[in-house]
Amino acid sequence: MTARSALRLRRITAREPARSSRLAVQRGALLAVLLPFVAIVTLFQLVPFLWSLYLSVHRWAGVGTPRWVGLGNFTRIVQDATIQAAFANTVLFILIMVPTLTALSLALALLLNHALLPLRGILRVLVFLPYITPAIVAAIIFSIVFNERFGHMNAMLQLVGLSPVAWLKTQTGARIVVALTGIWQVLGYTTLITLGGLQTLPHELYEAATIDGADAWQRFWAITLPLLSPTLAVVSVIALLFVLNLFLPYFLFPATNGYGPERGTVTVSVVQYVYAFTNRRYGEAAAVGCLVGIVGFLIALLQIRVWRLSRGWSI
Amino acid sequence: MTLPRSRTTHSIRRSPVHLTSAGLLLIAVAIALPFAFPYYSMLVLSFMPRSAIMQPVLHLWPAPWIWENYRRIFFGEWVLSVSIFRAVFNSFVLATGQTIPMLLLCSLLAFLFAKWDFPGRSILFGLSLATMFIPYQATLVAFYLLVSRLGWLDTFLPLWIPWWVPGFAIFFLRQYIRAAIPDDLIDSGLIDGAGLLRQYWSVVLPLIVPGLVVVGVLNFVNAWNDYIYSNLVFSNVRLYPSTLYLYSFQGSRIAVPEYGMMTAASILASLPIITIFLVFQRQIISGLTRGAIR
Repeated sequence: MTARSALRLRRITAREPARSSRLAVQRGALLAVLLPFVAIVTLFQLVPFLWSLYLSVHRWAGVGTPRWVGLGNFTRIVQDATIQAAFANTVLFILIMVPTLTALSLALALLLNHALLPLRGILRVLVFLPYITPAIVAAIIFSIVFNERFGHMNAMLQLVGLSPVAWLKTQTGARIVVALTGIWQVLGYTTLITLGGLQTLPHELYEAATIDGADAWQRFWAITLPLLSPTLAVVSVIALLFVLNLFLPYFLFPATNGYGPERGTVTVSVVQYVYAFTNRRYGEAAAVGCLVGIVGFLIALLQIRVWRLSRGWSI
Repeated sequence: MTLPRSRTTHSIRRSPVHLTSAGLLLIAVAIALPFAFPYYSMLVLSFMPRSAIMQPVLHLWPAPWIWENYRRIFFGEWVLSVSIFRAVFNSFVLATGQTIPMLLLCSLLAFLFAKWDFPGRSILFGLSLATMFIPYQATLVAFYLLVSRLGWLDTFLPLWIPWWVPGFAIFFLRQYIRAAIPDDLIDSGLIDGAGLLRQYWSVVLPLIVPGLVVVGVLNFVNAWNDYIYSNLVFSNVRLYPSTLYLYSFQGSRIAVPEYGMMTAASILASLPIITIFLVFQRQIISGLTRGAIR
């Protein structure tokens, strides 16, 4: 298609010189569109990217001349206890949240796909609402719900005769609250994507399996799960990126800049933000950004592979 | 659920169906509850005084019912001394100034990449895709330094201009234009002498409105919910968008937070964006489930 329209454009100019002035106008229009695009991408993507790379090998606190330190920032950040905790926590959150999100998305999508489920349309909207709600709002309400003294969660625990839990003040409790809030936020999004995958599965297979006497459980294992696995891979990668960018602890534990009890909730995104903009340790923050950037880049590549797998896209 | 086919008597056949639908209703409620309850309790608490909120009982209905929280954030009777309306208005300015030019510019670029050939076309399209592969953490620190060098702090410019050409929007709209607009339409326009911009305006734009709605609403939501960049840019509290306004409650070092005002402000700050989503929910949800956007 590209080649054809190119040919046509060229034909117009070659055969009809009278229209060359129009082509000049086209060229002007072309430049008017492409210039802002190139300028914005260069100035706000490429320049900051290279500048961050530069900062990551220099020591600089915002004033004076940056001093070349080679890989000094990187050796310092791998020895820094807070940054170590941030990487460990991020891995922990990935290990907890990604499988949970994938499994819950599948379960929820199967339910929402059920033809007889009442209020299906409303439920689909409802589960998606947290995704468009600001993270800070989610953090405010969840920090009230999990408040030790008067939160809803402890009130309910006490109603059934259990003792209250110091959710926000213990390391494990804080991690659970972060994971639950994060899952609440993004589950609707991953569920709708799973639902989309479910709706593309061929009806005939299910009918044939039913005629052959397969029950719902067998149909799930033999048809749904294998055919849906590319979609579930997409969902896992989306969940992975979501957790890699997890900034929620910053809102849930503002008194400790998101570090949480015993640095139990600090994530890579949080530590970079705090190191750069609270502590003005630009070099180290840029170095953290580089490491996270490499991981994020690899995940994005994975995402493309998984996209292709799931729908045969060619870019 | 398969219905038992062998049974013929009407009453017997109906009863299991009845049971199932009751069970399904139960499932529907069980799904709805964890998603709806946080919003509901936010609403309840926003009508309660702080002293009542802090009673260790399950608050399912505001008692006593007061309007004081809303009154105080309307009039900005809080450390910021700024009305919540001001913050919500700022969020509107931020999100609109980011989204509307983005839609125009990206759809035009997508049209170019989808239907026209020009020198450097594939390099430029590759460039727009490449931006999707740079995680925000890799540019964040220098982005702030750049914006402050440009003298753009405490203006909306750094939250508008850098976000006008997101690779995702260009890519999505290009796919959309490829699918929605046949080549012949463009060709007949060319023969009629309509130039690039004219074709864009009168042929392309009207045909891709549904795609623009999906990209536009999702971008608007992202802009509205931004905290990370807004917090770098704004130090003037009169320019605070609603996310920074809310953080000033959550992040205040006051020993006992103003829970009632926090929840009231949360509701007013999320209501506009939820309303916009609800207006376009059909397009967004079908766009997501059809796999159009990811």
